[in-house]
Amino acid sequence: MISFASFPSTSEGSGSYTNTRHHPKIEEDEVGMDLDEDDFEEGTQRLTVPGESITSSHAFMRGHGTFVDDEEVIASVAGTVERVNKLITVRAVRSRYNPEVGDLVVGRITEVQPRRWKVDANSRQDAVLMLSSVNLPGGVQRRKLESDELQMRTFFEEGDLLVAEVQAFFADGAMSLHTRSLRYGKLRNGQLVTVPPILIRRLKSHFVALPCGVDLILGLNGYIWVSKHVKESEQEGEEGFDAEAVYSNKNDSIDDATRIAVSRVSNIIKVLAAHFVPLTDTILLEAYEWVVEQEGNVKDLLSDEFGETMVASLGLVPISLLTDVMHTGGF
Amino acid sequence: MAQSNFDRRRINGPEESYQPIFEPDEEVDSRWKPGSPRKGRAARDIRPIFLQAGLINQANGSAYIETEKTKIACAVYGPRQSKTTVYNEKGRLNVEVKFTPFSCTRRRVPIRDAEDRSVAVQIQQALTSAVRLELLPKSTIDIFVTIIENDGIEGCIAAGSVAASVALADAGIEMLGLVASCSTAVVGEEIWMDPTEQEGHIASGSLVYAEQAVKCMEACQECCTDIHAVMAQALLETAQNT
Repeated sequence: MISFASFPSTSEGSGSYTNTRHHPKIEEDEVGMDLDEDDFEEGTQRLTVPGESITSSHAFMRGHGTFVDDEEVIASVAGTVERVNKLITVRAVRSRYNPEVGDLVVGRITEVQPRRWKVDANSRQDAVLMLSSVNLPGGVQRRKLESDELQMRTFFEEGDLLVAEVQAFFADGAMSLHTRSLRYGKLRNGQLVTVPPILIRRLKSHFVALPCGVDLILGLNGYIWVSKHVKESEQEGEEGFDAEAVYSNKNDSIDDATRIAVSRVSNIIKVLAAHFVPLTDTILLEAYEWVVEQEGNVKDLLSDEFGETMVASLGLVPISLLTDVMHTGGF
Repeated sequence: MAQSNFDRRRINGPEESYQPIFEPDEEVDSRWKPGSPRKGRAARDIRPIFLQAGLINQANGSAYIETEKTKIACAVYGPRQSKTTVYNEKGRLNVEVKFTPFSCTRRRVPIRDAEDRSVAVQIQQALTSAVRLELLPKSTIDIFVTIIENDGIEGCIAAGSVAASVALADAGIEMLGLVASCSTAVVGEEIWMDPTEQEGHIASGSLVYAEQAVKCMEACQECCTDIHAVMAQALLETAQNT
């Protein structure tokens, strides 16, 4: 909260302008401050705003979120300044998802086009899922026929959720997805939770099976799929690749205990996201155990009070207080 | 006339209505006379600014600005894929300005009119050069500016572009810099910064200056430096709290 009301209200005369500057608390050099090399020490955290000069471009290289003007590296987004050796980047807190090849994403089909689907994956542009990069019924590898093209809606329809991997980029920066693995494909038996993409860290596996009978898919684009646990042996195997099961729109029967567990996990994720806590499987598991101990109602989880107690008692830290975990892989 | 404007989808007021009688303000009574100094503040003073980013949850970025009786909320959605199929190498910046029905002294019909659009165009012009649209092919950024209370249209344009710029930064959109903006009016011999609606009526000319854009200009430039500091502060505080 800020309010600058420091000018004298009775200054009726034509007092010189320099006496009536309104924001005397903010000195010029405080806003346009320059960085010495010392400021980039490990563990320190610096915030910046667009247009603020960070450092000289002779000593450093510009990374994402910066540009060079007049031999200076200048921030172009508001966020934290990070440095890896000579590379300066600025990471915005609330930006859209920046895809990288190999990322696991959860998306929603927005459009069916000739030989491709358009997928909303929280990125700047819609992602593209080509017909040639999905598994088709009747053998995993085969040429796509015209008949496949005509029945594209039997695989994915508008509004369907799917999990996929970023395969490549087009010339204009749009990402191309693929679902050529048995773990990828259409999603069912669960619900979607959306969080800021910055909160999802790269993990060894983004498929998490919690012991409470809940499966999680942590999409790097900030979309999280919380669903009923499917046993390893019951997953659609390579041998009996069953198009019916993979592209089915019907949910399995889910018992009440699983439903409660799924909504509990979703609410925990929402609470952690509201407090800007980065999500990992261990944090989620700890939070889940803590919540079960409290024996509260699932819906009570979402109250501010409860959320704050949970974050405090688990000793979780918001992302802005974590430093140099981004590129150095601190986890 | 009344019949043609009748909108069945809205809750319409009674056919006959009377203005409530207010106690007369002191300011209204004491009219400004040529030659006398400005009431309430010095000629080169701007109104105090309250500015906060990130108040609208569902938007990608948002900001709220309040300068005494001017109150503006701004929400930014995007960058998201343009709906049109035409390929565009640069991103598009859409600005939509809405006045709430209770924003002005006269009730405003909740339909877009020429004034909304001219304000939107001016805000868009102020912002376009600052946003790095060349990095966003095929995308659109939608900016929705809601004027909750209007105290001088020049002030609204200035405060609207300040709020929109902070909202863009809050959304993590790449910009060359923050856009600070300030309005000014020539009253008699003097230059008055950041005029209110009443002051605007007695002015012989006015100017809205957006940095990233003579005497008025110089004065505006200095005010913009101050406003820029307020904007930077607001953004840093938001970043700190998250």
